[in-house]
Amino acid sequence: MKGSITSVQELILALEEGPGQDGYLSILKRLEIPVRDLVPLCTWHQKHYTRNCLSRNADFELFLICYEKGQRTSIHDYDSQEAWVHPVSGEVTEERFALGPNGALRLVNSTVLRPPTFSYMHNGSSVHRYVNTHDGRSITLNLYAKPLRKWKVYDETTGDPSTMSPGPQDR
Amino acid sequence: MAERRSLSFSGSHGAMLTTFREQDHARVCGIMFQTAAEGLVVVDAKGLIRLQNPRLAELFGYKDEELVGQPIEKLVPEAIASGHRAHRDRYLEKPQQRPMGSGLELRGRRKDGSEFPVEVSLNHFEVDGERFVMGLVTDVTLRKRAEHELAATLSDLEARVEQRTGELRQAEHNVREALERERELNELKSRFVSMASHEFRTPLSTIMSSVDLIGRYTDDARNEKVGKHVDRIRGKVRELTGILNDFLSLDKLEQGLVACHPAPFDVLDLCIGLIEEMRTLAKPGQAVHFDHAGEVREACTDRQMLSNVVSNLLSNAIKYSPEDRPIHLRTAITNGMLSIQVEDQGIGIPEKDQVHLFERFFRAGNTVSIQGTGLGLNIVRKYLDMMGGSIRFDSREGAGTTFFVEIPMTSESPH
Repeated sequence: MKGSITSVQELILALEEGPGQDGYLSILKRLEIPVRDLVPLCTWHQKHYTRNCLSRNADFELFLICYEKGQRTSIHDYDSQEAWVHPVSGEVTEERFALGPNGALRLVNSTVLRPPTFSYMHNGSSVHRYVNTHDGRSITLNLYAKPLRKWKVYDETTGDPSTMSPGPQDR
Repeated sequence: MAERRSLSFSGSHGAMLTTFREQDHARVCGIMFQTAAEGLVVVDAKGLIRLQNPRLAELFGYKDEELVGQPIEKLVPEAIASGHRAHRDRYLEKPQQRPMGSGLELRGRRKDGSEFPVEVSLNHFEVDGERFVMGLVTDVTLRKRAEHELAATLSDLEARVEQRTGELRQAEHNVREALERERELNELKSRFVSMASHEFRTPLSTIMSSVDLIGRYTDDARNEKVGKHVDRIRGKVRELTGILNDFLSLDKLEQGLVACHPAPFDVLDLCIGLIEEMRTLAKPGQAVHFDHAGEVREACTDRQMLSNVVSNLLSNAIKYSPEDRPIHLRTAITNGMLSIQVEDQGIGIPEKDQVHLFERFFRAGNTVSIQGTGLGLNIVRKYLDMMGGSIRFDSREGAGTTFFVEIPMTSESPH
């Protein structure tokens, strides 16, 4: 059994070697990277969470997702075959939704994720959202295999209205 | 006493000035011939010079009497000497007093071979049955020179007049252009004032009404309702801030304070980030679909400008689409060109308004009830111009609009 992965560089090298028989999860389970080593790679925004790409090749892409207090993702899905979400600091709540016959979203599951848990999605078929429910910042390490090509955002009529400004207005 | 026949010479006031006796006529004529200021030559039917005056000899560089017996062609440029003989013969067929070579530039040939411009008048007479032709030759060198100088001066004057006319036309054109620009500016100013007064008044009215209502709430009702009104105020202030940001962006662009700084970045990361940020604008049932075609995902252009372009197009698509209608964002990088499509199923753009869509402060006729400054697409176009890109659209009123953007990938900025 291979040893711990204690740096981002080691993690990337391990991922680049490929999932092997045991899959990418077996690599992620060896993670013992101190949070202080991840913080310099994070970016933060007052109004929205941030996606910070650590590495990408034809087989995978690795992100650090950074949430200020109260921030959340959209309700979305994507086309990645496999995706893992691993909280490394703080806590996020994962909400999974199902699309009803009339296109309406229905919350089917809500799970609080804290370090060192992993959340897994297969074939991008799950409509989901992450909410930082920690009383402070939260960070997750997200691995997508293959890299995303499609991303679909659903409306949030059931969500709280946010206070973000989109930029230039109109035509 | 010899019969006195008088030759009368009248002066300008008609008085008889003098008379000569007949035997003096020949002498006087001879004096006239010898002293005439013009060259005089008499030529017989064979073209031989029979008589010439000193002035003629002087004009052509010969000694007195040197020309007598010589063919008249000696005094004609060599190039036309042979043709001159034929002219002579034709003249003798129908002789008449007339200038020679009417309309032609005549030239005489001096003894040394040089040539000079002349005018020649011809007359004919008979003596004892023999025909003679008399020519009066005038050296018109000075006159020709003066004519040429005059012609050159006139030509120069014409050129100056033409140039000046051109300058005046250009000045007129510039003035017209300036007047047109001023007219356009005035029109823009009017549209701006009209837009600003409406777009600022509405959110400010909402803010004021919320503030008024907050002031009326009792302590018990205050907490719940105040929160609602504070959100409204916050939203309207955000609107106003957005409007002001538009003005500032446009002003910076027009003052040339914005520069394009290309750098490589992942276009999927940018687009996913944008649609995540903009999700709160979506109306109930509006899903935003994004997909990227092809393997190439690294773009090289100004990331912030591109972000502004895509944000604007997406926010328009959301704003002008009804609930339950999806919006599609598609990207691809092919052959060094980034292509972006933003498609909606919204209200579309009336055909008559489409030609004006990218003008400042222009709002389509079917958007009156929807908040907007009319600056967004103008700003988008300016950004794309700076990136070397282009934008076009297909739209049908009531069916939706698709914007197509193309941006060439450039080398990374030295910055």
